[in-house]
Amino acid sequence: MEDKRISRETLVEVNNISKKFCKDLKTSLYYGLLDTMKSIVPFSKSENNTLRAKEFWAVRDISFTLRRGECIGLIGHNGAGKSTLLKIINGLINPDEGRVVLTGKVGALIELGAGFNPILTGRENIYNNAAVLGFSRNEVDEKIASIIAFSEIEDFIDSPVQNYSSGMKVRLGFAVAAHMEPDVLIVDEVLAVGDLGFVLKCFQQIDEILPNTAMIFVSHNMPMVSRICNQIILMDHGVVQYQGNDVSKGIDMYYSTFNTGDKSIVFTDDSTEVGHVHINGLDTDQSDIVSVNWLDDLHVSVDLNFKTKRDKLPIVNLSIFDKEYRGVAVLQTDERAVSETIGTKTRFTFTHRELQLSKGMYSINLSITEKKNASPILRVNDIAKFQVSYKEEVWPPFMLKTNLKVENV
Amino acid sequence: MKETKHVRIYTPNVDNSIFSIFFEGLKNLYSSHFLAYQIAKRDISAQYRQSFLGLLWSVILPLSTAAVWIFMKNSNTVSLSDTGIYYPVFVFTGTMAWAILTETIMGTINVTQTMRSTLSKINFPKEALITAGIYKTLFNVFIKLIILAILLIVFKQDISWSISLFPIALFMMILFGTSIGLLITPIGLLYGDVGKLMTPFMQVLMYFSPVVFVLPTYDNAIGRILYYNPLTPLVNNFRNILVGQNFEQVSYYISIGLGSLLLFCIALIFYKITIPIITERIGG
Repeated sequence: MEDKRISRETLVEVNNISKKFCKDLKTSLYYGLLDTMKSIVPFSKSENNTLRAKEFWAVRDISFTLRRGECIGLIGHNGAGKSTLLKIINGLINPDEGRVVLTGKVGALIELGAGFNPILTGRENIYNNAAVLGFSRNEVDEKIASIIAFSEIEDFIDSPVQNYSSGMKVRLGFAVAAHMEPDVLIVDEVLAVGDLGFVLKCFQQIDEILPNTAMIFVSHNMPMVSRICNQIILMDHGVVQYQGNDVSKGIDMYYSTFNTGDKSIVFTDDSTEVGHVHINGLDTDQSDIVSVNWLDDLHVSVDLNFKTKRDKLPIVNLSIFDKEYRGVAVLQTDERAVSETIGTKTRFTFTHRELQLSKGMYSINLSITEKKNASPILRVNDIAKFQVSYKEEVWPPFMLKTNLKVENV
Repeated sequence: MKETKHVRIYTPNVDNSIFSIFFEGLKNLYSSHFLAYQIAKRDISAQYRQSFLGLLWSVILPLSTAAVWIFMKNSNTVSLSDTGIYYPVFVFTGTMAWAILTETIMGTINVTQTMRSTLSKINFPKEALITAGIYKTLFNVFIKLIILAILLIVFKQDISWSISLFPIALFMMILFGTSIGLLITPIGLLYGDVGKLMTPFMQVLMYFSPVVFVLPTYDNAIGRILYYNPLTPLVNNFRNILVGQNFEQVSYYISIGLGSLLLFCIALIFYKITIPIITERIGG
């Protein structure tokens, strides 16, 4: 009971934070000088809430609260203000408005290997990096064996860091950072490097740290955000577009900002054109995104206009991609079932029974070839989109209908 | 039982009183000692590991300056008044004092440059950058003291009990240089001009200070400027302590020390207040 109460303590309070930046370097330096002068004159409250010439709001009126064990995801386009917000929370720059209150030890996974000198050995640089991250000498002495073991570069630990591969440097940097034991952890897109094994290890480590910290996580990797965050803020041009506990809604909104909705022709030999595409009888050009219930049948019909009459039927392939443009499925057809008599205007209808894709947005790519996997005629991405609806949201792309039987054995 | 957690609050205006900023600065100077030591050790070992002559580099410059002036004096290119001690010892101690001054003035700016990319990403105690600069200076002083000891033996220069006061002279030198340096660091980080101006400025200033020659004693405005140049007692007494001569301008020397101490406190507060503004602009 006691433990539970402590584990829910509020560690991060961000109240109405705003920050303005200047677009022009020279003006920015001049304002810097001005601000410096103002800040040393006591009692001169500067006019923070108005923009001077060439200034803009990099972050505008952001608030959130985090308790121990919670993780908030900050997502948005490049330049949306995420990193600026992180810098304010980390105390590197002062906000122009608002207030940040942090409780406990703060750790930042923003730059791995800070303080490294390339000439020095891995072992020496562990001390340098650890000192920057706020370790005491005793702590480093205690943890160095564990740090080296975590980095998995025992053999090269006494070689100069300049001879390391970039992946090895990241390993060493993360190995040190992973030993921080912070109350508040700030993570900014550093884990995208390194080989797969190490990335998995990093996330495993984060999972281990998470229950004891309040984490602020900036990433463009939506599967990761959805896996570890329980709150989300979608930012655009410094302001909140969505904020709340519905992480998948925030992610959907983020994706929808990229939805051009246009089909893009990747390859064509100019002999074939795509006409209307129907999903479950609805013309995708005229209606909104077609919604299909989980376990409904999916009918996709594609109208193709061949400019010349063909002797032989081309092979038409549809593949399904999720919102991150990861291929999730191919519609496998039985070629013999297709009629051999075709004109110049032809409709190909694909039927898939009991769709078991999980809730979410999907897009369809079309590829037409002369022969199986050879002689391409036409490839079009995003010929249509559809949405799978279901009451439950899961991250994996498939929700496979399953029977469960329980018996005594 | 959970220990009381450290709470940090960040707001637009500096809410804290000047005193609490100052005491936080002092506390951080002490607690960031390990980081400062690590930065100094890193820079020094990287510097020497990449060089063949290694430690000799820290004495080559003062020795060559001394050589030039010894040559000019002996060839009568310049005529200098009697220094009272062997000229090579005079020049070497003078350039040594001067090197401490220039190194400490530029120390914080230079160390900050090596941490530039980290400055805008990781929140570490910036006070460590000040201490690291001092550590690097102390290391160089130590090397030069060895050379000086050899010089003193070769020239059979008398030394006296006053050499035990050397830490005080060194402290005065470092305190003065660091305070000036700390005061210009915020502006120096914003504008590269400050660092560039410093080299010629210090060169000119050297000839207004008793570094390579005894200052002529004119009874006019220039003479008084030279006399009241705060660097005059700093350099002279630094040298006098090493070679066993009497203190000069004692009360002025002491007031410079007190003044430096006050300046250091002001500079530390100024530095602490301005660092977020600097961080925002130097990026990384």
